[in-house]
Amino acid sequence: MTDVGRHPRIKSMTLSEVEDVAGYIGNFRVKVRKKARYVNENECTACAECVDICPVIMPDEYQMGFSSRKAIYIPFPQAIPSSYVINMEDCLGNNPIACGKCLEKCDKRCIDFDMQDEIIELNVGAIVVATGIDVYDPTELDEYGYTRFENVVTSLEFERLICAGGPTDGHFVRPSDGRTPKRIGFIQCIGSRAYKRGHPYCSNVCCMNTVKDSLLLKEHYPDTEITVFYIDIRAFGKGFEDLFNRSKKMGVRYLRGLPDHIIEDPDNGNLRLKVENTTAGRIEEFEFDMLVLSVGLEPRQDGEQLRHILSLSQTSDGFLAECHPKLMPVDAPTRGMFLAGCVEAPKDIKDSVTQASAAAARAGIILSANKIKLEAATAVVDKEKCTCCEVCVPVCPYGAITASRSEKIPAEVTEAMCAGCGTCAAECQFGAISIRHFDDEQYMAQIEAALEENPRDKAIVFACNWCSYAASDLAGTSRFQYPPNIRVIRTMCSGRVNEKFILHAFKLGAPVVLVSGCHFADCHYIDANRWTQRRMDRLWNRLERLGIRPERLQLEWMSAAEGQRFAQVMAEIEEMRAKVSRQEIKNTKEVLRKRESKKKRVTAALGSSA
Amino acid sequence: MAKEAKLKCLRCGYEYTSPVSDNTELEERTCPRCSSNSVRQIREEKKGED
Repeated sequence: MTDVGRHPRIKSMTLSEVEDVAGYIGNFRVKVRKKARYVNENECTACAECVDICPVIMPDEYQMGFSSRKAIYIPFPQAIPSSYVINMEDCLGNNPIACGKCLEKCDKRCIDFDMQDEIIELNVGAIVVATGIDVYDPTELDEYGYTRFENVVTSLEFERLICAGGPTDGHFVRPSDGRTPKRIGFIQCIGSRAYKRGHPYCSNVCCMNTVKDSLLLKEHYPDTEITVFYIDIRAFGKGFEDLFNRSKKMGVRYLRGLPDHIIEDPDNGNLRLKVENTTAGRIEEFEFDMLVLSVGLEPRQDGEQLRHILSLSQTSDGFLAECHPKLMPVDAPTRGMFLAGCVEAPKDIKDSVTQASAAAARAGIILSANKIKLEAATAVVDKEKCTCCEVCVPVCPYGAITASRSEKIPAEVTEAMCAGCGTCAAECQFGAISIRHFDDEQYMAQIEAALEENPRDKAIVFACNWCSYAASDLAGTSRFQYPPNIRVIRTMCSGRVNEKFILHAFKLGAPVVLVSGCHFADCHYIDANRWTQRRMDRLWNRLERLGIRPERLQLEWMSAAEGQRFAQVMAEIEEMRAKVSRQEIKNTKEVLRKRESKKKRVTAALGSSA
Repeated sequence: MAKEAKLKCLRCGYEYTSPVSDNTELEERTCPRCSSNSVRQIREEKKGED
């Protein structure tokens, strides 16, 4: 931290929040709110005279409330910059009647109660997102008595209690009576691998954190009896299995099973619990002086706001999604942005440092390049056709489109930001947006060619370039058998599949149409395939109103590795295709032709009246 | 905010209820019976929309 603070080419902005990010790779404009700290950080020498005189005493957040701080304080000893900050919610104020003592005491006149937040605009070429995580709050797990029983603490609170720089200077004591506990229990997977309360994913670090804590205890207090209650101990990683074995050799007992609830003895504050030892198949009873809840990790509460500012996507667990889990694990889907640490998924220090190093190196490539290659297939707006309706603006996963209905400014695409998913073109009801190399006429021609002969025997499949088309390729190279009458049409993203492509296929006699794309977590265009889902819902309703069975339009998410699944789905589609009768196809064609002629008549009438 | 919605699989015809978000769906809809993603949300008021 100190090295970063002193580095001549690193500008660290603490107590600051990113409010807006505009621009694109190599040319981001970032608006940062630097909050007022009410102390001039350049002048403050951290002499602590203001702290000594401050009358306000508040719980110290860094020490998890086990000690106190003043209203003017340094958040933690290694904080950068090493100068004080005033928490105005705690401070009594500058009014001499109320307080203002720190102001009088500071000879260097560093304290400024009139300091205002500052808005700073930065131009940067690349952005690394490393905003970290929150820790699960186990209060909702009432059966474990956290907040009800003083001697039930979280693993983070335990860290402060045993830390040499902690509130007890490393003398490990229990909160209720200040005695050193002799029997300590650790309960694993608090808030992790839980479907009802907590999160379904494994938090990755808790097992090894407990192993480390148990070793620390055994080294400092060898006579302590330690029991760890777990579901599985996940000790993968270099040297971790050795640590786990060392902990067991030092006498730490690992018991497979989690207690159902904890009871406190009101006389001595001890904690009793029953647990099913699932390895031995028996119920065991325990009494502990102290219990540690090994809490899991979760995405930051305020992460959603930042995600919107940066136009990033998240996976179903709430962490930010990387561009590709194998090939681009540190790149964010928005070009020029990178992820490091737990903002992407729970990970330990070593993995975080590895990812941060990779992210810095990736950012360095952009900063050192003179030119950057852009996507060739980008959206183009025909301003004559654009009605300034703004429909395309929110659907763009990259925020590359601007338009204004009130000011009648037609849509404009920033090409450097556009990745060419085509969702805007599919959503535009006026045909004002086309995608270079993947325009509507090309798709219509492909559909017409596919259904030119014996359309009743064909099924049209729209497959996204990255996943489902790759799955069809894998099915072919793996020699998986699937019906030969499937006609695959490649789109860059399933979000590109316009409603009119599907209706055109039905109008030409296609019995079944399948739209396929990447799994939600794998979408190569942030969240473009969510728009596919919405469009399909809309289209299913429309088909039903037109008297066309919605079942004839199918949807499937497939990854590039699912070649076998692709073959299986194609067999199912073929089965559905065979059940569509000639009469049904004839009726569909008739309905759609009538609808088209009606539309043409209305358009002509509107044109003549104008 | 997710709310309970009636869903129908357009592959096997299975009908079930599941939480569906009004805004951005984070989870894929998957039929619990046949694993298809052709799952349609059945809305109550369908008539007279066109």
